[in-house]
Order: sequence, then structure tokens, then C-alpha cells
Amino acid sequence: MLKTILSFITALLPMLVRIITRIVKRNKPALKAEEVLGEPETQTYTEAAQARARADAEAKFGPEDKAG
Amino acid sequence: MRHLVLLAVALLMVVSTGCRPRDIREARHVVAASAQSLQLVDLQLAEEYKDAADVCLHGSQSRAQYDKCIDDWDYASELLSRTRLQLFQVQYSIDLWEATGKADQFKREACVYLEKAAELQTLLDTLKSSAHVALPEFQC
Repeated sequence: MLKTILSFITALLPMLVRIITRIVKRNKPALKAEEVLGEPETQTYTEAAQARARADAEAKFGPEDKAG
Repeated sequence: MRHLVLLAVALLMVVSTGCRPRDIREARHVVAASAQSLQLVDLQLAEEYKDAADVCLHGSQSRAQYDKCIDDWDYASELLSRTRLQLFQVQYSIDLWEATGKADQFKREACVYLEKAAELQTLLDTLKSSAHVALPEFQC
């Protein structure tokens, strides 16, 4: 009886492996936001471009008029 | 028989590895996809900001004129930063959901994220930017 069950399982093994692989892949954890965007306090590319543009504007026109 | 029991236990362990409630797992995948979308928007917007700043710098006679010219792009940058920070809030609320089993805070944070992302997309459309913010299908 045990031999029959074992040979049955052995025959089904490739299919079981495929099913298990699929389940493991599906359960693969999603990327964390930090892994994509960096830490929350990290400067964005746009903020960096903004800082450079402000420096250029300051070089041409002088410091920003904070009151205005 | 012992072999069978061991095989069954091993199978159960593999199947249950990483298993979480389906909704939480999906929410985490939505956060990851949204993060990737925001990253692309950031790269695109940075280039467009640079071009706009050049145009404003060369076309302005005073600092006030320059500031007025670049104002909408500055706001786009600010909105992008706020949207990005809100996405982190959504992620933290999923951690809380997983720890407590309660999704209330996640629902609130997700809706705020959706609002901010939609506002950013509207502004990008107004600025004729080619950047596109993916809007996740959160139920609000």
C-alpha cells in the first residue's frame, strides 16, 4: 500500500514542484518603497534640479526676495 | 507512513511560507508599483523642470519675473515630494494593518495618497508634462 502511494507521489512530483514554484513566486514579497525611492528624507531628482535652478537664478538676479 | 507525514508537513511549510492575507499582499504590491511610477515621474519632471528653468532664466529681466515664471513647476516639485511622502505613510499603515488586523488607517492614508497623486497628475497635465502618475485603484 505504502509502495503504491509513494510511486503515485513520485509520478506526481514534477507537477507538485511546478505548483510549489508558482506558489512561492506568487508569495514573493513586494519591493519596499525605500528600495525604490530611497529613504523618505532623500532629496528627489526634481528637488535637486530646483536647487540648481535657484542657484543659477541667484547668480543672475541676486538673492530671492523673501518678503515678496 | 512516517515519510508521508513528513512529506505532507514539508509541503504545508512551503505553501504557507510568506502567506499573508491576500489583501495585504496586494496592497504592498500596489505600493511598490506606485513607488516605481513616482520614481519615473521624478526623473521626467526633473528634466522638464531643468528645461523650464532655462527658459524662465533667459526670458526674465528680474528675480520676481523668474519666480513667477517657474512658480507652477515649483509647485509641481512640492506636490511630487508630498505625494512621495504620503506613499511612505501608506506603507506604514499597511505594516500597522498587518500587525493589528485593522485596515482603517490604511484606507484613510490610501485615499489621501490617491488625492495627492490625482492633484499632481492634473498639474502635470496643465504644464503639458509627459510624466504620468499611475493612480492605484484604492476604494475611497
